[in-house]
Amino acid sequence: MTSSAMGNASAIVIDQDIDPRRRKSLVEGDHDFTSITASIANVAERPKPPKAWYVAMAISLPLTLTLFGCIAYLVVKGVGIWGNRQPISWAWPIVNFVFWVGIAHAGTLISAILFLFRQKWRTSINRAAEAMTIFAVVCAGTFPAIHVGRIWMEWFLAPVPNHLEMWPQFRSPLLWDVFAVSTYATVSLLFWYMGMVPDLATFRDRATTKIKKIAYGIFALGWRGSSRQWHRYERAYLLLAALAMPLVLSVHSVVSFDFAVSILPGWHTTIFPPYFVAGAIFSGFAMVVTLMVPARALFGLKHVVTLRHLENMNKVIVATGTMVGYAYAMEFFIAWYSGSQYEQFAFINRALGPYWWAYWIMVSCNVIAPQFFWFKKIRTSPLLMVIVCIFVNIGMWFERFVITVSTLNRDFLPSAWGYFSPTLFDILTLCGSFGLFMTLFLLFCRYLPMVAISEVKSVMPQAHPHHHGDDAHGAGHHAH
Amino acid sequence: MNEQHSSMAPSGSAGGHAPILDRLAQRGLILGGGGLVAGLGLALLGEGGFQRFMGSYVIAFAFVLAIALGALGFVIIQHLTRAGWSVTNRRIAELIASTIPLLAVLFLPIVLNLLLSKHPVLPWADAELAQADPLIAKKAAYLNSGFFLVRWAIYFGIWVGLSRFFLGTSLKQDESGDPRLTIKMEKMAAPAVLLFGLSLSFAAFDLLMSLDPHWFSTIFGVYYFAGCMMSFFAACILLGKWLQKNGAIGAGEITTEHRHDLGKFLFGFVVFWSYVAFSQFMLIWYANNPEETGWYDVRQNGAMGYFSIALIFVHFVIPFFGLLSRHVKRHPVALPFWAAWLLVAQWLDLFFIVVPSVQHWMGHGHAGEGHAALGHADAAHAAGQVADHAHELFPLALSDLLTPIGLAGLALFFFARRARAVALTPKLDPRRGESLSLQNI
Amino acid sequence: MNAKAHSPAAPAERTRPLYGVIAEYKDVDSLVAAARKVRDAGYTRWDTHTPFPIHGIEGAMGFGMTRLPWFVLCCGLTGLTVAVLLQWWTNAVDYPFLISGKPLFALPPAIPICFELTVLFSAFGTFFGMLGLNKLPMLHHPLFEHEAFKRVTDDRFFLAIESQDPKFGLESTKALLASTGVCADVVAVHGNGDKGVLPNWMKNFAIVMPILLLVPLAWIVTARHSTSPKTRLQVIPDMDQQLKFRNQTRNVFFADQRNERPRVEGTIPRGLLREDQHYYTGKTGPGESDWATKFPAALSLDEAFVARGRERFNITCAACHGQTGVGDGLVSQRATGKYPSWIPPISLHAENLLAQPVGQTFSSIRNGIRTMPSYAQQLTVEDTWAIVAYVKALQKSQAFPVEKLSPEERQKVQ
Repeated sequence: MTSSAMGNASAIVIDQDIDPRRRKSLVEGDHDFTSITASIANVAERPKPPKAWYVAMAISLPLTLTLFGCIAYLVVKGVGIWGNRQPISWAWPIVNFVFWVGIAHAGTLISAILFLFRQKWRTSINRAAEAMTIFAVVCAGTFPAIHVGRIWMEWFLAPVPNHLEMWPQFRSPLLWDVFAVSTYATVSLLFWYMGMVPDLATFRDRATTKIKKIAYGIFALGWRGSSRQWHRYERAYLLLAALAMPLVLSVHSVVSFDFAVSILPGWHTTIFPPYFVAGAIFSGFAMVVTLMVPARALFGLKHVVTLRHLENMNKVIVATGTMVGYAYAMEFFIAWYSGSQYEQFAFINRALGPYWWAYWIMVSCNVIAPQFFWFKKIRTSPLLMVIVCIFVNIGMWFERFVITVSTLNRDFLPSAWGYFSPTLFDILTLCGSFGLFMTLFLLFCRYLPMVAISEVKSVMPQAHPHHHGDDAHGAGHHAH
Repeated sequence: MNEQHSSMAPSGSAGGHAPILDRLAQRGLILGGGGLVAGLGLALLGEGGFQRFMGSYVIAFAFVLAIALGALGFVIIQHLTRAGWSVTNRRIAELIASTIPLLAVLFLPIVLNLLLSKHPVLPWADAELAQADPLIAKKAAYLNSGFFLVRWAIYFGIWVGLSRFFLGTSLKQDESGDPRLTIKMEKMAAPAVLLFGLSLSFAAFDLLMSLDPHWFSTIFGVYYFAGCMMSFFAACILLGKWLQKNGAIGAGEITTEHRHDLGKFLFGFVVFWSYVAFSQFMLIWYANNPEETGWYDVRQNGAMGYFSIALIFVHFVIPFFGLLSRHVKRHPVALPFWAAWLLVAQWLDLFFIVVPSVQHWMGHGHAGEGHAALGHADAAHAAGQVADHAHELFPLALSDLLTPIGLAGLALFFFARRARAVALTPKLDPRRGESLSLQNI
Repeated sequence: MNAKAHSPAAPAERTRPLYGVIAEYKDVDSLVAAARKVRDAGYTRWDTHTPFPIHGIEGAMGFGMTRLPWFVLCCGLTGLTVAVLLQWWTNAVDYPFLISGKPLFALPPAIPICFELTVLFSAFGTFFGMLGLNKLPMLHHPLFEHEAFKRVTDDRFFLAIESQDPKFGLESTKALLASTGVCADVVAVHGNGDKGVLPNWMKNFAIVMPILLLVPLAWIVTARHSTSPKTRLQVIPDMDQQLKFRNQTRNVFFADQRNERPRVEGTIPRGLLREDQHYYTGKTGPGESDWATKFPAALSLDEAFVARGRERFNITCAACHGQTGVGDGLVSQRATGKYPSWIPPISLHAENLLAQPVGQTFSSIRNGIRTMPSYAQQLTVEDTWAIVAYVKALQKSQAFPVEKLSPEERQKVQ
């Protein structure tokens, strides 16, 4: 009876995409190891990048220079060039900081958490996403660094013995932020670089000029793919992933502490840590999709970064978007439930006060826009998914704006109420940070292995030995 | 390897394991009856009487509910992520979730207490107090018996509906092996997770947070969720181990690899719980806002303070180091040991949540009588003084221990009766092969 | 390519030591099968080289788990310890600084940094531990001289047996490998083992660079430990240069070019007309000891005045003189013994002070006496008189005989 039931079942024809009886191949088309290496290495090896690369560079490079110009002017003139005024003394700089740190969460999340959950589809996008992480951390770190005004005093943040015999104030969440973001930057860099070592060795071995050979050769550290090396390497990768996973959660939690340890209604609420983390993953994934869709088309990587990968990303986006929506709802409910008039006012003010427009942009972009991904048509169409993801990014920027500004603009005393307007330099600095991010990303695409070559190979069907049986974790164990 | 191939086919016919499960049911019934009767008896003899016993009952109910909801959440998430590794463990989860109808019945004592008692365990339902206390009066639109019952009817509707759907569809697949049933469950999983998340959060607010109607915390739903998942994984490991040891589940069906993965999740939720608990505590500690600190005040001071410190160690530090190693997670004895340990930790957590609030508001109830003539503020002040005396008492009652054992025994009985007639691993799930050949790196 | 590697026409190969032999495979299965064969033949110094990690080859090669996790655990615990000690020592011991009523050191706010440093140290431990165990970076290796080996990062799989292996025999080992599913001839590889040869420019760079890096450091150290008459180099002026005139500098705005302006003749600045000698100096005549024995008439010597005096006394004087005036203030207690040059204040109840005219006490406070500095900057004239009044009351109270107190008052004093 059993076998006949199974026989009947296997006769049922189902759309291949969702058939539970088989897992869809992660690499599309008829590819072997050789062609995978060639197609990925080709991005960096071709003599000239595609025209669109130049166009993108032509836009992002001037923006980057604008950012540097703004910073120079800021150093000369001071933070008065921005719109930060009492009572809104935390304005765009921290909004931009939190925004970029949020973007930075996707890379390590894809690399670490999806790795631990054995989501093999991550291999095609993790390298680019990790790169985005690092570039986003660079952009994020810029804002707190420059907003102190006297940037040459920055070293006060580090516990360095100094002539004033002063130490940093470790009970301040702002210092936790320094530690969290710099640890995150360091670990992400290590993770990214370590993942890249075998691929840099590939580039080294394929290099045609001496300069390339030396440059890639030094950074490849003399990698020669020994199985003993691979064994320790994989173990180290697993450990780094296990370390990075709580680290990712901690970074945005610590960022949320900046707000939540205060006693301001609208900032002080216990759901902030997981809520910020969900929002960060949400925005980070949206940014990865936004950039990977054009990049895979431009560099001919459609067979490696397939629609299936993008669809999975979009599913994560709708899931995290819903979590963010959950947090919004909980904040409102508990504000009412608390019975505290200040809490209640803060949230009514958010939705109906002077910044109502920002609040409703946030809700429609973050909660409503991702719901379109319930439809398979939309989450598998490259154009539509990019549109939705751009809305998500806008919404997530506004979320930070709403949290920061709409809370500060109403102080406890009506005489201290105010309204924030950005200055030209606020706007230019934000645009400039996008330029910096794009420039770094474009350089990365051109000169470094954009997809984890060895990892993609290892998830191809040819990569698995067919068991013959006698030596599963066999004899002769010795530590080394 | 050969062993694995042979186990690809389901072991024995459904119901072949019935005697083993009958044994389990019998034990469950003995534990359940004994625990409940002893708990109630001791509570009535001891200090606090019936009102205090209801505190124990809330712990017990929340304890069993957490495991069942964790199981339901697990099933939904497995379908949502199209997981292959967990297939052979999923039936246990489906069966644990199917105890929810029993829980709906076990919820009745709380309902009766709410409607009939002069000083119910949920203090906002005390009509006098609700009028005298301005904060509770403000929340009356939400915290009132009628709306509470409507909400719980909805929660149970959602949970019973979902657990019946997933178990029923999965059992249907046992017969036909139709892969379209898997797709049907996957499609259902997305809306299910929304309903599940919202109902679980509000259930936690209603049952546990409102034990102290003054206090509020936006993360509380997530806090209870963490406990649900952790206690489910612990229960799943223990049940799987017991059933396998007694031959109800084949040796190749749930392997070391599965237990390793369950162990990882167990460890993960130990850490996740700590993260959520730390976030909640640290933010309230740091802001030091009297609107919220009262909740921690009664937990940090007096005899309860020792329990709170113990909670940090029992629920986080010790199991963290205990479960850190890969060898432990793959060990046939060590992993069930830590699973059992963490069930105790979950009980301690619920004790930490429930008892100080119950004791605090028991004081309020009596003070409300004595000082009814005084203004709100005076009544509250007097109540606070009574409650302060409560700090000095040793908070643990034997019924806090016995009642959860009782309800868990009843749930075990229900589980075993439900499980005796069905296969304990999904027989014809299209991903069964994938699950059986699972290998950890 | 193979022909070239095979050819005996490379004389250099002869002089260099034999590293081992290497076999090349096209797919994973042939490599795993070959590895098993080599393992079973009893070789110990050999390795396989692949473009990606192959799961299960550990068993085929016969090696166990790495001990890296233990190393990482130790690093993590070190990070945790460092974080706790750093926060505790800097904020609670070396630089205690009370802020918003928080304890100097408490666990809740210390946990984020404890966590971050634990992860940071563990991550360093993982990365550098992995490099160390793998003996990387090792930019040169004999295998790199085998031209075909370049494909190890692309699509080929290799198995190399070292000549150091006790079972190694050039021909026998070659034959063993040739019997596996190789896709090219098994060849011998020559090279200097682990000792790579760095090009000269790299060697020079490695020597010169650290020295150059030391230069700025040395420069800073020198600058911090030497003095110079020249103005220091100001990269960032901060507020060192301000638009203001300093004392005794030239100011061309005025005809006399003096920056300080002289007082206009025949005027007295507002509030500085001090005609009442008794009130302002405590004297009634021009002589050295014409001390006033009475309080100035302008003051009303009521209870509020003495209370004001007590308040000022406790703020300004009690730190040294003590609240009862016997000279046991906190500053005095601490300084006595600690600093040999410290002269403790005399008791205000000494005989000579009891008899001292009020004017003289006033003058002592205004102008200072012996080692006590002037308190004219801290106290208004009126407050100074108030203190004098309080000191007089204090002296009376301390000299009051106990027997004269009523029982209730005695109770109160006790």
